[in-house]
Amino acid sequence: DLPADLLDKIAGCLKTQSDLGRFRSVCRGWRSSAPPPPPLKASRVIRLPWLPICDEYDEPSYFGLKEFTVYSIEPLPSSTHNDGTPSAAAAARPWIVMLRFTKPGTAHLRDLADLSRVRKVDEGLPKALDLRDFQMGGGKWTEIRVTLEEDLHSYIVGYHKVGSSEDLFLVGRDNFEDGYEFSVSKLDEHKGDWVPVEGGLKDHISHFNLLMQLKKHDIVEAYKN
Amino acid sequence: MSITTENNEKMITLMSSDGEEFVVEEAVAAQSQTIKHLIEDGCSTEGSIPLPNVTGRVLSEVIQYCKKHSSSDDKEEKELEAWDAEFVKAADDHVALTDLMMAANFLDIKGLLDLVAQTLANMITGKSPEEVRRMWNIKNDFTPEEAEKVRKENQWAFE
Repeated sequence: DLPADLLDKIAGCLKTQSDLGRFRSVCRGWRSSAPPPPPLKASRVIRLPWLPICDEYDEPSYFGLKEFTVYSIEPLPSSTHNDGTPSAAAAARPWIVMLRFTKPGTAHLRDLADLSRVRKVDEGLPKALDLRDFQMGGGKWTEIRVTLEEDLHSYIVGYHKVGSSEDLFLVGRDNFEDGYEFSVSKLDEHKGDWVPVEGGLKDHISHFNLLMQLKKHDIVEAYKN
Repeated sequence: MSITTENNEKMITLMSSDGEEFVVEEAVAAQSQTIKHLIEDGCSTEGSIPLPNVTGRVLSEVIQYCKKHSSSDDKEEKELEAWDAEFVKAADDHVALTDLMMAANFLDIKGLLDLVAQTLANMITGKSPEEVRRMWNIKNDFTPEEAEKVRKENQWAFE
């Protein structure tokens, strides 16, 4: 049997909170060897004073941006409860949901395949999920959106992390009769300006591809991996 | 026993817990901080270095790793990574990897310890606690109260 310090070392190599939760559910020894996961981060309001979106008078305006932490999860292929019965997650059709935490301890469920609405608990989703029944997507996404000016809802700012550096993306939406197109710019801090990104965000945010395919839906959001 | 090869490489002998002897270059053995300190303390002059916690089977794997890592320089990092991946794949069994991890810890070989820890973590990623218990032959020893506490800890509630 592995001693506690080696178990802790293995736990430290796990990438997601749900894996750590499962690790700590194996037995007493495993549980006491690894520290509990950190509390989930709630949203916070952030201010980006150099965000150069102009208002109707062509003056740069400042926005209140709200950052949400978004987790993608999907059921484990073989999830069962401790008593051997299939879990609710495994019995359901495979789906990807995002849990958007607004304040500590509360979350919104969103089905990625159906962005047009946020599913409510009374629409057949459970009141609570056991995180151990799910595999979390790699890393977490941060969704940042303009919270103030209603008429500027088509501008989304994504917040992207590449390694240790953080890049900011601005996603603009152009409306056409049959859908939307997205223009993506990245903040160049040296120039102090937004530079167009060739090929959109697809090289940067894998799930953005998925979102771009869902043009018919009204809700358009950019996510950061 | 301390012998010298034609290349003037100093050789030392390592003895596993089951009495198997391995003659290796000192530079290879010194990848292990534990062995390095034993050599520095003069423990290798009186014969072979006994490693009571490591079996011959595991020790031969460890030596394989140390040989590769003492003969490669930084320029070969990519190749070394590929070699590491093959190396843990060859020991692709959690029991063998567990033994290897214990040995890497005892011998204080950081690179090997990190490599095996990550490999084991990858093996349990996405597996339910029950699957992990079956794999490692671990008994679920939580009391009902503790199990409930664990469940609560992993619960996400929605408004």
